[in-house]
Amino acid sequence: VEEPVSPVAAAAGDTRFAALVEEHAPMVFRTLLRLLGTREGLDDLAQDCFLRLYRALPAFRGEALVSTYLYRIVVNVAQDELRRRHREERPLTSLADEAEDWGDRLRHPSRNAEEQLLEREFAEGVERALAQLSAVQRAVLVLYHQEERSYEQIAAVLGMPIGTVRTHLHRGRVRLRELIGTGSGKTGSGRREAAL
Amino acid sequence: VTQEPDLQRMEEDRMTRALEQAPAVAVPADFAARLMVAAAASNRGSVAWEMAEWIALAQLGGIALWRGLAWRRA
Repeated sequence: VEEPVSPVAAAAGDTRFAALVEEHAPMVFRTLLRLLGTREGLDDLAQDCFLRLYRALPAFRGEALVSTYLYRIVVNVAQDELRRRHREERPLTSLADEAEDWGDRLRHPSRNAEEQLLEREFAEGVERALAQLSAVQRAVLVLYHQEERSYEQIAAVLGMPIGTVRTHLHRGRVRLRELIGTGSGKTGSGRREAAL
Repeated sequence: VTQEPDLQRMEEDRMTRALEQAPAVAVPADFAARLMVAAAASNRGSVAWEMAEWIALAQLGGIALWRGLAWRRA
């Protein structure tokens, strides 16, 4: 996959590549951010993802395959980066520390300040808990819930059987619940919890 | 009797909603442009490497031919 690209193929693929960047850049940025839990170096890592795709592009024929492969690259790049940071013992800056962004993530901006604060604290707790999961559990949870990928797609991205994906998803949610230590809840309906 | 399972269900829903919420992040306006430059540079690097490989192979072939002819003359 990492073979050099011939000049002819590269030139022919430039237009297609530019379109892929345009289409998938938001996904690459938000998935990397969720998997890493920090904005540090995000631009460079996103660029690394697309350069890996660029080198592999001549081998692809179907758009679905490119999308799956790009998710796989993103997961691998995030895991490599986490390992690198772990070796350097650099603590991750939690997404939850970036308070100004969380206002945008609240689903009901019109609710009163107290409810918003509670939701924000809960969301921050989820992010902290997410960062404590194993890399594979975190990847499965993010791909399933945030990216709305199917079991089949996640299995293809992570190179594991569908049953294993379901197991990681279930155990990841159980572990997440334990880590959050939820005490009080608000009413609402999640989109995909019924499938679990 | 059903209050506890309901509460648990609500907590599950709440956790699911939080997981579904993607972090707010904007792609830099010049990201695509910078990326295309980097991709082109990467490609040039590949071409240069391929050319270097071909030159090296040609040199090795030339040396082998020269040695072969020299051996036959001897």
